[in-house]
Amino acid sequence: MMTSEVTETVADGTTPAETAPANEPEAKANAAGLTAKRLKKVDDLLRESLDKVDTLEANLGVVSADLMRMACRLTVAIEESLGKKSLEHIDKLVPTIDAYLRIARQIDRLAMLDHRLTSSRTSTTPPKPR
Amino acid sequence: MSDKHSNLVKGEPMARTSYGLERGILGILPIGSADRDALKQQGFVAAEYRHDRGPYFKLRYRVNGRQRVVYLGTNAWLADEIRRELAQLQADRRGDRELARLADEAHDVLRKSKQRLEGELRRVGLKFHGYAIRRSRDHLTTTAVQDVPAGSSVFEPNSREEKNDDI
Repeated sequence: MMTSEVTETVADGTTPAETAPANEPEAKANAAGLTAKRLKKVDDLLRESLDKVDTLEANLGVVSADLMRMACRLTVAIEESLGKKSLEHIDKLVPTIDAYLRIARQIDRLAMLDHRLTSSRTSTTPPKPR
Repeated sequence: MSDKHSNLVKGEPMARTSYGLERGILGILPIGSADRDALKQQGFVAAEYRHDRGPYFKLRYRVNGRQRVVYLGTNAWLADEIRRELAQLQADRRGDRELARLADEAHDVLRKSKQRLEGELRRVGLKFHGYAIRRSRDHLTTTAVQDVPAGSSVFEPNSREEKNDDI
């Protein structure tokens, strides 16, 4: 009986209090791994863009890569702050979230334009029948 | 334990009272709530020497532009604890500043991206309208984006939305 009480106490004491901080480094490592993968993809895009012949397409790729890198930094900062911030400071996050959304929207616009440019260049429109 | 804390407040060892636990070690210092609020904004523990003797620790901060000093004594442990607690107290504000700086940087990147593309877009008959990209009215012939009507956004599915949500 005594033993079970002791084990219970230990279990109660360790489960909520100690597992959460133990998982925290793992979660951080996961997040860091994902960010690194993301940044590698951005580097790939930058490298591909620099090899493009068309200057507009090359510039679109380079600018998009810059924006994506910034978006990545903003995401990390926002996620970190969401975990740490007290409620009275949460409104301070709004400008950062707003900046992130603007950047994401611009990346989308540039991607759409790039897609349009690429498809208009590659599509072979058949001549109109007379 | 009591040795360490005995010179914190004269004759009153820093026991872990409920008061101390609630407000932390700063709670046992002779400072009011206005001062504690001021410490959330700024304030630091200074180590000072007098004729090669010391260090003597002082908590320095400002309330309404006037400097205030609380003498902490020579206890390095206490000084470290107060430093740690101050850092925690000021962490939110430091984080806020960092976030604001990052948001400014993001706007800067966005602005520069626009400047960088403006010339290239003009070359193919496109222009920025805010941050949305549209076909230029005065550039009627273009080889790159031929299927976009003049003055409209290049993103046909959301063209109405794009017009309204320019940054």
